Amino acid sequence: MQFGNLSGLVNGTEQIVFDHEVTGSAVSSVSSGSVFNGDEDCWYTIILFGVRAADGNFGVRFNNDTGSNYGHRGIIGTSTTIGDDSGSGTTYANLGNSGGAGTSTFCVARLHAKSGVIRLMERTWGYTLSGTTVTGAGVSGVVWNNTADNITSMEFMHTGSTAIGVGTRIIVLKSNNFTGGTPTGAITSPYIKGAWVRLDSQVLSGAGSSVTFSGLDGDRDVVYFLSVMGKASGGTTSDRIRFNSDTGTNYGYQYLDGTNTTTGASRGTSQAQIPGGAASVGNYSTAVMVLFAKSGFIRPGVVEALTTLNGTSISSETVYGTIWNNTADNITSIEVSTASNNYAIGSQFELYALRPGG
Amino acid sequence: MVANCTQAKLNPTGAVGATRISFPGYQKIADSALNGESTLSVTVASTDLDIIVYVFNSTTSQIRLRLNNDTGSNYGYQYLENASGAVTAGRGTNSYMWASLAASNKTLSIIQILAPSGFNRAVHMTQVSWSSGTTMADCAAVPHVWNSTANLSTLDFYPSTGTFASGTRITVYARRS
Repeated sequence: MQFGNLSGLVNGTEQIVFDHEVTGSAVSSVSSGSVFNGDEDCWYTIILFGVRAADGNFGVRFNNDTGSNYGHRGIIGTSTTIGDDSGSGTTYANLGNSGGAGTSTFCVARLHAKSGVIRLMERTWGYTLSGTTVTGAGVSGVVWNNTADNITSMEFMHTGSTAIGVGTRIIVLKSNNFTGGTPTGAITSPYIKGAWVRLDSQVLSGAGSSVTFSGLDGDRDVVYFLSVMGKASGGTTSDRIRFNSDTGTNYGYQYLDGTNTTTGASRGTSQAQIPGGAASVGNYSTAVMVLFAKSGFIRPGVVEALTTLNGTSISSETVYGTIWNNTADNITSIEVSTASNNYAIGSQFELYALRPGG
Repeated sequence: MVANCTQAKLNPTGAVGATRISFPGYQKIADSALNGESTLSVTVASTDLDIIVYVFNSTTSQIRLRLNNDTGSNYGYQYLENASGAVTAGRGTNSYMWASLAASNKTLSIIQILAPSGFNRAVHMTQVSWSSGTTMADCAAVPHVWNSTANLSTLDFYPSTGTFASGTRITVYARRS
């Protein structure tokens, strides 16, 4: 049986359970209300695009616990400095880093929510985004030192005063139940509201230098997940990610990386693309990106890229915070290309969207 | 019949008599709350080219992962790590992949396996571990590569010593059409 779009909870998916956009005027906090059941859901994905109306940092409190029951440790890169980012006994779970009014932060976090053990959250984020500048990027772990209480709510807050600015978007996905068993029938649907849906998959049937996902509606899709795995043909490849065919110097990034035993960080402003992976000829590269696509504000993203996978060797691992300094245009296309040479046959490019509103 | 449909709740893979929903997105194919097992093997389809795994490790030993139960020294890694404030990087090979940090306490891992047909398998991983109270011990990005182009058939998890402890959870999503 062929269905059209489905809405409502669908077992076996990861699906939006909370979605809030700040409109009108800045607020001090955003409360989810009692929409969660951490013991049943077990896993949550939190996507935050935060616009600062005042200096300070974004965070979340579980069950509105304001006690000194949180801590974090991560790796951040700011300009050419890579280092420890840690804290203990804090009063909120960190989702960003401090920044000034008018700047933004973008964070993707995964939370293990089930009680009986301490609650851990992993996050990747870029912070203090403005123009084509990404001040910092990082990957981090966060703890809520509470083993007893079922998570039923999340309070998103900011350390500044009335600092959660207009345009801030908070999306939380939950992991719906899965019961296994043997299905006896099947219905087909092109789309399930609030669940990641693959918009397109392009596998090269011959060597090529680029792939374009077109016909997009970024304002409807809101969040994209891009997955790239390429094999270099003809020479070294280097991923370039662009939106709406914009080849202007309207992009920026901050990265941190590890290459063998060397750690590093660097920032690029006024760039002509967002970088991804790279590979020497005959070898592989990957890039996975989460992009906040809605117009009206700069478009931030986080990218994790691997360079030159060859046999059992990975040349480097890089985490990027990225930015497209275009606030006006709806994203209608995403292009992935190589700066030189070609992707080989079989290289795979996939694009997913959330479409919170259906 | 093609129609937009609002359901209270749909169960794609439930008990006998349930209906599967086929759609082009990630679907949960395994969800295991572990306690006392020595291994967990998750069957995947050869057409599962993109897999996401969430691992919460309550065990006091590392959880390891093999693909198709390959026990050869066919896995490589490159890590970027912050261990108690010291940021380091390194590279190596093993007969397994780290599905969690080697830690004496709780860890969380987010894993994505990319397996395009005919390509070696790339595995993105970020892992964090807890020390005590509100102190986090470790954070790392630890991608791996499996030096094989074989179609995936199983994800094989096991603790480096002993058995899985109560509270350990492994959840697997695959991109299904």
